[in-house]
Amino acid sequence: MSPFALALIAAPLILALRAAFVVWPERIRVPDRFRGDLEGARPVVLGALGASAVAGSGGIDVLAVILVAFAVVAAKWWSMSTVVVAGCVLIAGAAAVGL
Amino acid sequence: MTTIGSPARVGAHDAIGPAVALAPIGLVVGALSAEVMASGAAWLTGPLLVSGAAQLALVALTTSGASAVAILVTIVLLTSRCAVYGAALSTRFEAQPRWFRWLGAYVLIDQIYVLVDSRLDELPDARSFRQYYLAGIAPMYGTWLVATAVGVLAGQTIPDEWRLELAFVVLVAVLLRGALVSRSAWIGAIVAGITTLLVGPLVGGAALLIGIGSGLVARRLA
Repeated sequence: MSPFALALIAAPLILALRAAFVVWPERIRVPDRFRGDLEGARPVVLGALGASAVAGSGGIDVLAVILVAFAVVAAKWWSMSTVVVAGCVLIAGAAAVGL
Repeated sequence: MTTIGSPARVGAHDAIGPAVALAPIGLVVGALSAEVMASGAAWLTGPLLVSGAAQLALVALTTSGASAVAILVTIVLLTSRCAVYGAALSTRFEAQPRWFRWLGAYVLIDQIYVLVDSRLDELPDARSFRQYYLAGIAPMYGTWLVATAVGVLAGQTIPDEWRLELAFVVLVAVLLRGALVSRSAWIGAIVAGITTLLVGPLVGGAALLIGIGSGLVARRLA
């Protein structure tokens, strides 16, 4: 089966996952005892996403550590978009020098 | 409670950083997709899946010769975290019109969930929530479609050693810094991150969901 055919099959499955609680929030309800856990889950989600992104980009190495440290420190003074642009410049610079 | 004067303007402004971070990742995803599909099909997987992780999994597993069932299961597991996002935001969709519920679900990605969650207290009614959501997702979705198109067309010129995916790491680090406002948030984030790293090699696409689940449990116990 071609990758595009697989994407066609996967698309409605993904949409169903996304839509379950959003399109029918009155019918498919989150139990109240779990609601408190889900609300404000942002730091937890970001922790998992960050680890996954680092692993998927080649693992924890000098460049990944430098970028995370830079982002955390720079975010004290700069806006999110400025930090991201500067991070992209750092990535390009690191590639140019072979880091 | 603080409210936002112009939710659409603030949403568009908040989305600049994530949109910038999506551009290099879209380039890579487009370039890799074009290696296993015709150009048009490679680009169309973007609006079909609306998930860079799912697109990357599709390409990587196709290249490695995985079975169709294995690829589909992996993609579903990878995107199952979006159900968690939907569950977390479900009460905010109860007062929304049907069209926005479907549109909101279609584009419910990591970045828009994080942005919306960080502003929930400032978006008290259905209209302001909807305006912020739409204004936030538009630049990100547009950037993704353009970047993947460029990647499909010109991806072969991107050197393999350019680790453009790290732009997402920078974005997450910035967002995480603002989200770590309590001891329980720290514990939840650390446990989620370590668990995702540890179980990743064992369970593949389910790692994120397991990581988020363990982080939520740790946060509750903290």
